[in-house]
Parts: sequence; structure tokens; C-alpha cells
Amino acid sequence: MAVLSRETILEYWLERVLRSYPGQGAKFLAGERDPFRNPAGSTMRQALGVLLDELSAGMDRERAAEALDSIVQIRAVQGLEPSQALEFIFQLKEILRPQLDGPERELVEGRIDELALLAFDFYMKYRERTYQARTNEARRRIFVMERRQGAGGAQEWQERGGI
Amino acid sequence: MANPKPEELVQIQYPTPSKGWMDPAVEFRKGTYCYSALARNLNYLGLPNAREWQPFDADWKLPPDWKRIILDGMKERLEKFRSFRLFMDICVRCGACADKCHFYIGSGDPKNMPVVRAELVRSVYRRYFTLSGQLFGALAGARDLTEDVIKEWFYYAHQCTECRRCSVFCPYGIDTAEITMIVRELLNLIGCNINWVLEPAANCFRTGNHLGIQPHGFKDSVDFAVDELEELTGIRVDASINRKGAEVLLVVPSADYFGTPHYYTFLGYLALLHEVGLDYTFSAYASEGGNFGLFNSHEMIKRLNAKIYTEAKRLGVKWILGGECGHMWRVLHQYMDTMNGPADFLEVPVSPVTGTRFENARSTKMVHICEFTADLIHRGKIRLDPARNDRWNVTYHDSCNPARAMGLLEEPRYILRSVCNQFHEMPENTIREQTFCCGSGSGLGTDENFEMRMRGGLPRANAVKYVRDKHGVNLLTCICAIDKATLPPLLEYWVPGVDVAGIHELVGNALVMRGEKERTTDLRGEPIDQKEVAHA
Repeated sequence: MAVLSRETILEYWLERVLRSYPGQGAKFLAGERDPFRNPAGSTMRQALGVLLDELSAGMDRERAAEALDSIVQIRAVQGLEPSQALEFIFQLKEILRPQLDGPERELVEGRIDELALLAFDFYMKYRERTYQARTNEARRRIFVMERRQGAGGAQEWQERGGI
Repeated sequence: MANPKPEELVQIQYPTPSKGWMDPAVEFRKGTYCYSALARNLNYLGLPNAREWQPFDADWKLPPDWKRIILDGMKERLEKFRSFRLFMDICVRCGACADKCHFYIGSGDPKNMPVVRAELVRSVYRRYFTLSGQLFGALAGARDLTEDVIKEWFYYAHQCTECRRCSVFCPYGIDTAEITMIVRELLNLIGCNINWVLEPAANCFRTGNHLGIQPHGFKDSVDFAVDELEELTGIRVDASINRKGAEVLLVVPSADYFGTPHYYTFLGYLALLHEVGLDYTFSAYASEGGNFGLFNSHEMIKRLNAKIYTEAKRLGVKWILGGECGHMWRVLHQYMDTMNGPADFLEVPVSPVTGTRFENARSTKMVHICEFTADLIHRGKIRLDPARNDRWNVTYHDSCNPARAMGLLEEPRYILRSVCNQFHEMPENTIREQTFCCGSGSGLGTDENFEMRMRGGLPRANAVKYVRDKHGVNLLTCICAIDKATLPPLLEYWVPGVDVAGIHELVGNALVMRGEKERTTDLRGEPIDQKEVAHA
């Protein structure tokens, strides 16, 4: 039943994902292949490719999770609502639906749902990481004052998770 | 090249923006803007239109004649700064700068392309200052100046860190950072400014430093560092303050004696300058090298910078040595001499240790501590044990201003190679002149702007991630106080397991001091022989 190549499906998927970015921006994110000039776009392209491979083949959960993690890390700080940030996973269902049949479709859609649940975990992990980083940043600013006053001291702060 | 498969020729349409770039409406989403300046800070600095307001308010309480003020301000600056008029006229919109901005790369917002960000001002310039714009309006790329345009300027002028990466690629040499500076000046005329810039500026005006630390507090901080250094090395250094007749005035960013990891760099300076016997003193008023006036207006740069030459004169020093800071050096290198000089009461700096004459500082009379230290190492004047930094696998972030505004590219690397054993460069198009900004410079390193900073810092963090994964790098060094404050949270988010340090922290670690006790810890108090796993 599969009529589209992996590359074409990937392009469709990437294009759908990039719709959440303003026009000209999407073009750059999709087009520029240098990972250092375009870290967001190239990370998404690379990670979506991994997800597609894993969903359609053996589903190495560790590899899929790593790819998913790298996309969610970017989308968690791009000013998107949580639902928007994670909708890219469900968009694949729409693209694949006409391509797959019967048990194969069920299998892949089940795997996509599994990834979606995992994505919630990652999204929260990164939001929480921003809170932690903000708190640590505030503490660093008054480091010497705190240390001078001996309030708890550096040691205790380290134990509480600061650096 | 093989022919593409038929399905690969499928045309994929990326949607055009739902509205044209001339539409100025912006949405102030939480996490993507900085809070307004407090009225007390405007009053303290004598700036206009002090009031209570926030960027997300519908009514910004602009003065009734705000439009005239802005247009008069533009006219004045077009006449005063030839560069500004040139930058308004000369851009051919070739797009070479478009994908060079870290905010654009990280956010994908087209108005963060330097060309479009500048076009937000150029369109107003065309409308009111060019014949074609007056006659043909939008057809000639001209826009009316409205309150929405003011809000848009505010939004995007505070999404430029004035890092000047885009200007490296402009075939005409347009310095978009200067356009941002002018826009911020104009906004300042009607009281649209941010607190993270004006509070440090007001503090600086009062106490001499951004943090508002008074002389006794400054002395306490320095004394505390001297005590700690003695505990670590067994050597008591003399760090005098306001001592007349010293040979050199040492000016450092205030974060060096207040924040971390800056503080360890400060300990490094104290150890090094003691070891080579430099006759130096601090000033309790010139207790800040940084200058947030740079992010406000040319007048404010001059007002805040004046203390450096004044204090050098009062204390009767021969020349000035400056610490690790970024925008501080743009001011010192490019503005101080003409704004508050000539410093003809000072001498061309000569290192008393090596005899080297710093011809490059002939005019400003101020030497960067990396130049001073690199010279010491080159002449073999200090003993170094790089093995003491073996727990670190190091890379170097070229802080924007020292790299692009003063060309300080080799000295930091030369020092690093001498004080540590493991050093790896990040990819070529992310370092030196092409270095990516931390994403938080020019007064944008606020807590409320955190999310925007994470986006803007992605290109830098991404290059760090590459060397972490490839070489096991676990320390990012830099020579900018803002970097040292804002790279740690950036890396905490994007590249956990990589720490941040100043170069002179590593110098202080490696420095073998005469009469020191056996060093069991580095300046952070961590055991020297402990090798850490690069990352978890």
C-alpha cells in the first residue's frame, strides 16, 4: 500500500511541523542543512527521520526517545502552547493514514500514541528545567554576598542542586 | 549527481505569512520581553516620561507629542551620525545578514532577520525623510509612525543583543547593532526603556557600579576574596583600594566580585597580579568596567564612562588595566577615548614585568588583562602547572565584543593552551569573528525574558553540545561578565554537564606562586586531582 518514499513522507511531516513558524522562518528552517547555522531546523529534520524509521521498523525505544527528546527540547521554549508544541506527533498519523492498511496501521498508530505519552514527559522535563535554571541563575548573582554572610554556605547550596 | 526520484519533485508549499511585514502589531507573550524601567530609575538619571507601565499594557502612557519627539529625535540623529543616515539609505536588502542572527536562527521570526529589524526603522525614515516615501508611501516601502510601530520597535530592539555578528557578513558594512542603539535612544526619548538596563545605569551613576555597592561594601568584597585566596594558596595578597600613586588602576566588572563563576576569575586576577608584583590599586568609584549606558544612549555611555579617566587622574596612576568583560571593552576600545579623552595625563602602557609597550593601547591607555597575561606567558615570567586544570576539558567561547569589537582572538587561546592540557575548538563558523552570542547581551539577560534567551542562545549551545559529545568537553570558558552570568543557565537547559569559567580562573589554578602551600584544591575549592566524567 505504501506509495510515498520515506523521504517524501519526511518532507511532508517536516513541512507540517514547520507550519507553526512564520513563513520566511519556515523556509530557512527547512532549507539550511548546516547543523551549526541552523540547529533548530537540522535537529528537527534529523530527529523526525529517526522517529519515522523507528516507527516503521523495529522501534528501538531508546533511539526514538532520544530523537523525540531533542525536538521537544526546542519546542518547549519557542513560545508555543503545550498542545501546539506536541501536535507534530499526531500530524504524522494524518500523513500515514492513506499509506497504511489494517494491522500495520494499527501497529504504527499505537506506537505514535506511545510516543505522544512520552512527549508529555519530555515537555514537562524541559519546562521544569527552565524553572530550575532560573532559580540557579538568581542564586549565582548574589553568590558572594550569600557566602560572606555564611548563610548556609556554598556547600549546602550545592547539596540543594545549585552549582 | 543522480536524478531525483519523481516523488522527490513533489512541490512543497511553505505558507506565506498571514500578514505582511509592514503590519506592526506584536504580541507581548510572557517570557519574550523585558519589564519596563521603574520610574525612580528614570528620575534618578533625569530621563523623560517616568511613569508606571508595562509592555503588555494596552496604553503605554506615551507623552502627548510623542510622535514629534521621535521624528525630531530621528532628524537630530540623522544629522549627527553620518553612519545612521548611511545605514538608512544604503541597504540593498541582499539578505546576506538574514540567517546570521541567533534570534532568527533560534526563533524563525522573520522580523528577527537583521535586515527586517532595521527595515522597521527604515520604513519610518522613508516615510518622513525621503521624497519617494512621502509621495508613494507603502509602494516605496514607507510606513506611518504609529503607536503600534513604537511597540514593535520596543519588542524587536530588545531582541537584538547588539552582538554584531550580522555586520560581519554585510557587504556594505552596515552595523545593525548601531541601528538598534539608535532605536533604543529614540524610545528612550519617550520613556520606553527596560529596567534591566536603567537600574544598573542608575546604580552606576550613584555608586560607580551596576550593583549599587557602596565603597564599604566594595572593600568588604575585596577583603573577603583576599581572605579566601589566602585559605586556598597560603599567600596573603595586597589588593589596595583608592591608593594614590599606584602605577596601575585595575578596573573590573562588578559581577567579578559578586557573582559566580565570575568570582573565581577575580581570585585568579588577585593571585596573578600578586605573583608578578604589579603595583596596582582598585578604585571604589571606578568599581565597574561594564557600562549599561551602551544599551541606552550615547549620552549615557559617556556619563557612566567618565569615572574611569577621572579616577585614574585622581589616583595618579600611569595606565589602566581592565578585567574580563564584554561590552565594557566595546566602550573602552571604541568610545572612551573620543568621549572622555584624551587621557594625556596617562602614559602609554608598559608592562613593568616584561617591558612590553602596549602600542595598541597608545591612545586609550587601557590594556586588556588577556593581553597583559599572554605577554607574561610569552616572556616566560610566570610558572604554570596546567595539570592542575586536568579535571577540565576546555573549549572557548569568543565573547562578542572582545572578538568583534576589538579583535581579541589569539590572546585568550594562547593563554588557555598554556594553562590547561585539554582544549578543543568549537566548529569554525561558530567562533572567532563568527562567534554566536550568548543570547542575553545588551541588557536582555533578565529572568522574565528567559525563554527568549534560550531561543537566542540555541546556536551557541548547539556548538557547545557538539564538542561535548565529540571531545568530552566539560568547560566553556569566556571573557565576558554577561556570558558568565547567562551561559550557565543556557547550558543547564541545552547542554547539561558543561560548566562555565573565566580564563583567569584557569590561570589562577595553574599559577605556581612563590611560597604557596601545597595546592590541594582549585580556586573553586574542588580537589585538584579529581577527574570528573565529562557528562552524565
